[in-house]
Amino acid sequence: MSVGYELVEHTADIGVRAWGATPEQVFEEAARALFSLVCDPREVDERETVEIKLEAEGMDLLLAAWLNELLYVFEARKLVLTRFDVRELGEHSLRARVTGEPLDLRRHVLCGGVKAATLHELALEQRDDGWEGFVLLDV
Amino acid sequence: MRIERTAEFTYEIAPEPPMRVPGRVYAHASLFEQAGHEEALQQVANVATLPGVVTASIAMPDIHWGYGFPIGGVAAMDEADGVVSPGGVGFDINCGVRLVRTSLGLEDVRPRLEPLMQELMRRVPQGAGPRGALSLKEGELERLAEEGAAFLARRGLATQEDLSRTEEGGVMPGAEAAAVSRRALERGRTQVGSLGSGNHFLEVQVVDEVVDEDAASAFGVGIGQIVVMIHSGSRGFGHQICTDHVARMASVAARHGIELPDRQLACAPLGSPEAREYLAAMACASNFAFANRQMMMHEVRGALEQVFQASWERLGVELVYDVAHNIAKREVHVVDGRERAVRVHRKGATRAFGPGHPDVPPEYRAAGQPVIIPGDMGTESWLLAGTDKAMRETFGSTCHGAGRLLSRHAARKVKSGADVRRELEDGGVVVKTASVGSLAEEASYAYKDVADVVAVVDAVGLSRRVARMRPLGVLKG
Repeated sequence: MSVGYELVEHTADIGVRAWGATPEQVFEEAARALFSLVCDPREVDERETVEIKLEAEGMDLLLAAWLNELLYVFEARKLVLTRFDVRELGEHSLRARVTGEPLDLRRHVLCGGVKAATLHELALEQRDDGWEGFVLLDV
Repeated sequence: MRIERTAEFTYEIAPEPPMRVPGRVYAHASLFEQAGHEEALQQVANVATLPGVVTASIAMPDIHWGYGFPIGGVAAMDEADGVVSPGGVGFDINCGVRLVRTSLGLEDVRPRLEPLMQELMRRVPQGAGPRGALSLKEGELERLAEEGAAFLARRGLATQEDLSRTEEGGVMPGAEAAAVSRRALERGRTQVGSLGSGNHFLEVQVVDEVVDEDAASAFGVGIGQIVVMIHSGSRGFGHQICTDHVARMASVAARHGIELPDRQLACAPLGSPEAREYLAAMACASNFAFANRQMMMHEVRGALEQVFQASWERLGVELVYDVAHNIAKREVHVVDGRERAVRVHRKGATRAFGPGHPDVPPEYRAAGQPVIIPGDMGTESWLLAGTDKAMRETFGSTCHGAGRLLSRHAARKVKSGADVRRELEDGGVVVKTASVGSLAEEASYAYKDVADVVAVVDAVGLSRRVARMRPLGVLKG
């Protein structure tokens, strides 16, 4: 099965559908989808790494929590992220390493901005040929 | 779902289990031809399943499909046995709008519009990146979160009159900084006094029609007068607070035996620790937003002083009113002849208290509470007044704006941001933005016609048209 993501239409918000061979890949693809809405990914260098550790009551809730945590890292630490490496993923916890560089308004063209990942129609499922997830983003 | 038309602009969704009350939608018949309307109506029905919902799950004519609650939704929960739902407020807690009047006229501003818009763009940070206009040291955001616009008054950035003309006096009661996560504080500390992005904007407008002379006079607006409208919310601070509490409440509902048709309706019984902490944090986010809009008004005063070389007091730059349209408030309303304390959730809906209500500032009380309805970019905006009928039928609530028609993706396919900008400028509107691409997402064709939405609430009697404003310059995030 391939690995990738697509943005799904919704009136006021944007859905992210991400897929891969493993759930870790779904998380990584969803993160790339998220940051494609923040800034053009081609302009971001890999300079700084942040460790992420999260817990939630289910793997699908972890997916939403993961995206929200990345938004926090972007806004609070002013880091634009480009690489996402999910190292450990369980039913209730996640450990990851994400890489990017400090926001530089001269080089990074920011897009509209994402407010949060919602729980609306949140899904993370195993299929015959891999995994697929869906998260609706409030933009 | 059974939907019955009960009046010209009123539809009822019959209360089929698990709905506890009917749905009531105020809308133009054309709603039923719009894409996504079925999902939006389903969301109205879903809200009617929540414990403690009083009378009806209500939707305004700008209703559109959201997540959990529809946008344009109003639901009052009984304080004794109801729930509070962060999704019924939204991620942008106290997204709202403020209208500022001046004693300048069109002929004063037209020749200096470009420098004025440049000055505004310089002083009011927009978009997702930059720091807000207000500098806060460690620990100060916690104070601001508890004191709201009053925090700015102590720094000389707000007058007592500014506070009295803000909903809640610019401070929501019950705000406790201890209920706010470290993440939210980190995000918020550098964002006070910033516009944000998406559909947030700052517009220089001219009043081009007055419908209710008495109310317009009471509110201090007249034909040809220049006003400034600021539409913004609680930024990353509010988003993080909503995220934190929705995540918490996702498991709470199950523990209290509440079945949810949509996880984004995650809620907790009022009085439970989770509800109390959410409300304490929500009040902090609301206060942040009041302070945010106040700070931006302060910057508007500075910009006008710079361009017109006179003090803002001489230029008559005064607050007309500031309203929230994403919030949950404890209010007392008359239900079935009895006074009842309820928690009114307004998500994309505005409070519209009627004439005589004690919460309306004395100088406006005879007219009713000012209601500010921002229109789609480049078209028109409205100033309305609250009514007795709103008090009786919708827990003192009305619409909030135009409501989206097209998805952002579909809007971008219709025209480019550059084309939208050119069309606005050809129509005489100066546009300043850091994100030209997103202009297409916010173009008027992506939204319902605000004139239609306002016509419906006026016809139903939920608010009265007072004055219409037309934009001259738009600053967009």
